Amino acid sequence: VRQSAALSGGRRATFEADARRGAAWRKALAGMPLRSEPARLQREEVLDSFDRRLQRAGISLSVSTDSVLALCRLASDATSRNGHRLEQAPGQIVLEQRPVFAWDFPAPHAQRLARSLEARALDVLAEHETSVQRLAVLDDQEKVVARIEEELHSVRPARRASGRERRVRRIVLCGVLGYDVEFERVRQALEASPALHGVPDEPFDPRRLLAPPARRPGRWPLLAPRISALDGLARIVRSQLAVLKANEAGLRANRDAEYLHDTRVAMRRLRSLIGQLHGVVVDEEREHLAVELRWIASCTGRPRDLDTLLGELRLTELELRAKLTPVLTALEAERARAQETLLDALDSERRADLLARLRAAFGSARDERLAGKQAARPFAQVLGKRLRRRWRQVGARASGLDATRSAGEFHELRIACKKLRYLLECSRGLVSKSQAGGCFARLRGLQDVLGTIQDAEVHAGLVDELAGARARDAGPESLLALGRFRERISQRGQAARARCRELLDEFLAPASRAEFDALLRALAKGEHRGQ
Amino acid sequence: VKSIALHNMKGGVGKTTAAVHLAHLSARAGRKTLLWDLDAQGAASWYFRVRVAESTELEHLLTRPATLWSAMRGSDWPELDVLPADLSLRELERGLGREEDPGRAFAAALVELGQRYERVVLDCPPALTQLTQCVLEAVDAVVVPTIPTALSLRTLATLHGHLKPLRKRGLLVLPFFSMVDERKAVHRRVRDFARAEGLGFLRAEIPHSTHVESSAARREPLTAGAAHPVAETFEALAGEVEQALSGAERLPKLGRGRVVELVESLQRPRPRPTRSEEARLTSEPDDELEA
Repeated sequence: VRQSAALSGGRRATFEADARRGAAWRKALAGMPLRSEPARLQREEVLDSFDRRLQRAGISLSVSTDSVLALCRLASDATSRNGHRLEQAPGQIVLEQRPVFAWDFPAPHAQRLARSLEARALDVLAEHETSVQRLAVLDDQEKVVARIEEELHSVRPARRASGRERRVRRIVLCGVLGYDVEFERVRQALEASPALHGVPDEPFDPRRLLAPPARRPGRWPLLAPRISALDGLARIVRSQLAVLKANEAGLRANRDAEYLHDTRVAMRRLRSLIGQLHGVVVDEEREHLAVELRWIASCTGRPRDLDTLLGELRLTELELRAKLTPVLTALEAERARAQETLLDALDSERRADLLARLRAAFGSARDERLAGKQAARPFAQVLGKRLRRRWRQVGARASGLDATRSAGEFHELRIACKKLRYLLECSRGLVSKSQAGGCFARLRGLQDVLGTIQDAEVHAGLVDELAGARARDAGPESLLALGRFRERISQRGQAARARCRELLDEFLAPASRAEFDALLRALAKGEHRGQ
Repeated sequence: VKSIALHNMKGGVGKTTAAVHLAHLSARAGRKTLLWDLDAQGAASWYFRVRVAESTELEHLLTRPATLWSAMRGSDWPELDVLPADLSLRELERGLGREEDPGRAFAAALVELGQRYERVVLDCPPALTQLTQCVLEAVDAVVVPTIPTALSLRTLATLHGHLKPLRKRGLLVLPFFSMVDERKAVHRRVRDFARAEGLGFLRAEIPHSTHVESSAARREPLTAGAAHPVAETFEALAGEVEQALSGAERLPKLGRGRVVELVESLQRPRPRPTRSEEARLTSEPDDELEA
């Protein structure tokens, strides 16, 4: 691509042809002096997470299968949705083996990829074979005045579910600097060909020939404005049970850390909403479910803490990471042990009983005897009441909190914010996006900072508990490296604490409060329909 | 942008061949490169099969950036463009003559080219015209192809003296032996003397070879094809020029007095050759000094 761009003088035009009509398009070039240049064949595997996180971020990643080493091509388009553009020209990265995680790439690619991919594993989505035949258009001096590349792309999905093999023939016309007239002449001839149609001049993305990724289970349900509290909560609970089910296989196999993360979020949501929406189910059942959900969530806490610490260690620069290898090994061993404990919990009767009781209370064939006093009231009304109380609680915990306060106080505020966030999420569909958007954005920013403070505390604790002894055994270099890493964690925590007050002031400002009140009024009116 | 002029007041010493190969190798190394043909013979342009467009107003080439940019032609090689020349180049000389400060106008054009190019290789005509003088004042280095003969060395010494003020301002003068014929005793003696005395010649030597001539006939640089010993000498030359441009190596100075000494030494009778040398030199062609 770089060579084409260097030769083209910047002018390019791209066409697509029906792959089945073969070389019919070449009739358009009849009478032009042409010279064939050596053809090349390129085979590569298309990599992305199963849920296409890279595609959504506008990033394409492939690995050449023509080499013993893994030659990775990484590129991004100009319309990256998350704003994390990589370099426009594809960069080649040589790795010893096919990458599975963002941290398998060298810095700074690892950090950039991790923003979109997080800890999600990369899968081979398809095999992509490209055969390129180059034709040079000559003048009377046999000087090349334009180049034509005929690319035949063949995309074979790695899984049958993603569709059958598909082919696309692309014709790329590249101009040569100073030969604009000749470029125009060839472009017009190609445009006039019935076998071709013009397409935007963008790098070919083989993923567009694959079936779109399956819809992720557990989408937030569309709640009717007048839905009852029990029906509303039941639909949300069922959606979160679907998330748990969808992630269970990946969680058990520990394919990547995101399965555990998604599972934990769904569990926390269940626990938080069931616990907060008093009176929707009978109190005895609510309390029992809350206890059991707290238990299962606690089983996932340690593996998750280890995952985040490991993720951070793996994304440190190469030099530091090499010195921390003994620490990484020790943490990975601890993570494996935590996985065993987690599997025991997943296989336990206690968990089976919990899921059965959730289905009994909120399933489509639920036990109506478990309905509480508030079950028949409008969901929006019950929600509005809880939202108001939770907002006040966040305000109370936030007042007077500054960087010098204890980690415990920040953690309590974080929990209150999470509860508020889960309640706010329930307003989705019941109020318009514009009414809820500001509250969500401010809360999200605050939660990110509180999360960084908490992670710093937890990671520092884990480093002291698990890594210190191992680093001491490994020698002074590891110990010094661990010290640097520990210091970095601590500095990040301090910076987040300093930033937190600023975000809290913004969150508690009168304008923010007014926006929140407007949201509550809209919720009470119940006039909005749709997502 | 770094600019390199290929210059020698003598003609037929391999300036265009060296310019073409240095430009091609620079582009092959991934540097955006321009080969600016400043010789009205247009040999470098012919090499790359490009011609001056009829619409190009060479008279305004240095003063109107739009004219300068529209005169560029892409070569058949990635990263390499050519600013072609033909007999109409005299229009450029004429335009230059009307400038109040021609040297500054030419230097400004090179700065303009720096927006797009990392290297500009200028193939100069075999004379010391006003245009050549402007080039020598503006470039970072002047690479001087020199045939290893007494006359060529004399010409080089004259040029060296002429460039003294510019050298003091930082101009690099990089002579190298070109069209070296190992069968000629005088070529060997001149070369050996220059090496022994440290006259500042680059180590790379371009041999007199039919391969160079046939590459010109094919209108394709030798360095564009398969590996070849002659192509490797051009690669070595390009490597040394780049090294000198980066300031990695401080080059010894070529003194006029030392060249005179060389020319005198060449006039002294040659020592009787040994038997093995005699056998090797049996087929020696006419030698211009001996003649």
